[in-house]
Amino acid sequence: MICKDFEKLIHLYLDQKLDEQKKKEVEKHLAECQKCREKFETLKLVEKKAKGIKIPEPGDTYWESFSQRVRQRIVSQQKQTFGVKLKESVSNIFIFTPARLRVAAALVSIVLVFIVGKLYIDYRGTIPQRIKPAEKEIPKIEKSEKVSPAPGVEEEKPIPATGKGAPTEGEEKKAESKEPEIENEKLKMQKEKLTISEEAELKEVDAGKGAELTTKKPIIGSMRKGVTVPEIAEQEALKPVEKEEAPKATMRVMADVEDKKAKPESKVMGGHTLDLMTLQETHEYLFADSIQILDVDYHHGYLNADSLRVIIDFWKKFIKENPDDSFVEYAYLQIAASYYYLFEKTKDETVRAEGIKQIEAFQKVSKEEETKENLRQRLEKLKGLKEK
Amino acid sequence: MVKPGKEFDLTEEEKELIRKAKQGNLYSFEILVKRHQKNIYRLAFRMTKDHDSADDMAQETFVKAFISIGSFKEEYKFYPWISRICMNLCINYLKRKKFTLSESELSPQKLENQNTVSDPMNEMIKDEIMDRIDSSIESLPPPFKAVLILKVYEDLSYKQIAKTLNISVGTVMSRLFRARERLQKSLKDYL
Repeated sequence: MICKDFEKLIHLYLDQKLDEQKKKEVEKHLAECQKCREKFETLKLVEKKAKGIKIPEPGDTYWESFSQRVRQRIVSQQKQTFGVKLKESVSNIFIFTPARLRVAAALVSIVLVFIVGKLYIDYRGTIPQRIKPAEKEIPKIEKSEKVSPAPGVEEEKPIPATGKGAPTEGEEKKAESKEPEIENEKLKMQKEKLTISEEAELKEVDAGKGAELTTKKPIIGSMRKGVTVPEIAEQEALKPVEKEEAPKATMRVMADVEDKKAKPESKVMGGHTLDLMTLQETHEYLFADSIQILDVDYHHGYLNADSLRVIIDFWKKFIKENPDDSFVEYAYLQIAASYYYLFEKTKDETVRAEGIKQIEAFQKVSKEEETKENLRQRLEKLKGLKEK
Repeated sequence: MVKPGKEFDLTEEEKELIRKAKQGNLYSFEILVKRHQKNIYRLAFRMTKDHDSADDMAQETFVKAFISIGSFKEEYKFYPWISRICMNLCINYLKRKKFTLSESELSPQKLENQNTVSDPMNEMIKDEIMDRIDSSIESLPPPFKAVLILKVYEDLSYKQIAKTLNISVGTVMSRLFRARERLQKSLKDYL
């Protein structure tokens, strides 16, 4: 072994980490080489001396209080840590990182949408009050539903003004009250469905299955268009009667389809100006659509005295000119109802007397028991009304 | 009292103390502190050569141990674990100190004077050679010093030193070799 090799192994030999063979080699070299032996001795001495260096021991009081001081330090550090964390978290609130800005923007958007939505809902809630005619679409749809007959039905009973089919006073009040919007939408959807079915029916009529148009159609249609009563009579006279009787359903369906295209030209009807605000607002609604919807029982709230007189005159003329028409029964009921509401509005005893006289006359000539019963009820009501 | 450098298994009592300390029981931890405080202080003193610094390092060792006791596994030994904390703290402390004090202040002569004059406790070291060795160890770079102290004073194996300082066994051998060489050179005139 040379000195260079010894220097590499000297520390391992000192730490007794060499195997037996290496140990012998090192010991042999130490015995032979004085320089290396001196070096080893120096190292050994240094280690020995170093180990001998004593450490000044603190007194017992120091050791007794040591663990206590450690505990205090831990507690104070924990408090400090909590305080620092709290301080950091508070200061971090006002640091606007991109992620925080995104979250804040999203929250602001949600709040804005909520506010706008709330305002919109509140605003929509007031619409039914302002636009009253929208409520009146409900009976209209119900009516059209009732009068849509099945194909092949020859005759249909007129819609009763009173009695079982007619709305009671309570129902009328209900109709006047605000209807929920959802219900309105449902009814609109029903109406659309009915229109489709009616159009289908119309096609069948055109194909020759149904009867052809009668003279009644232009009369009703012209009234709806706002044409005065004398004009109706003239038009009727000019029109050739192709067939005497036609199914009412067909007539009404045709009228509905035609009315969708037609617009009212005037607000003047039978020489009377329909000057009620509600009537003006709902003029198109009432007169641009089918005559059927102009049911006095349903729409008396929109009709003033003049309007009611127009209706009475119209139906009287209709009866006079079409005495054999089955629609006459419906005309009796409309006139009776018109007198009833006219007296209710005017409190004019002459109107009542005239109404009673007319209804009693209709009772005698009416051919249908249901009409008679309705007329009887109306008469009782009219007689029951008292002047203020 | 646990003999420094000797591996020892945790007793059932010590396991229980550690378990309670993990749950935040400071009084249980205090018992552990009392058991190991002297060894840790001595180790810190060997590294810092200053009572105040050693006291600070020893206390800080136990504070850190309590904070991170949740990560301590019972299959390990407690003393090697806290001695590792202590050594790392001391190495970092000495590195910081090196930056704050000038080279002249860190010279062996200065330290010698400081030890003999300013600190009355160090007056116990009277042997000149010992004094020189002491100041030579003091002047060693902290990583070398740590290996030497753990080997000489804690009597740890290479493997244990490597584990304590989180370095490889080869690094331990290399640092130990260099540290010894430096000591030998500094003491050449005295021996």
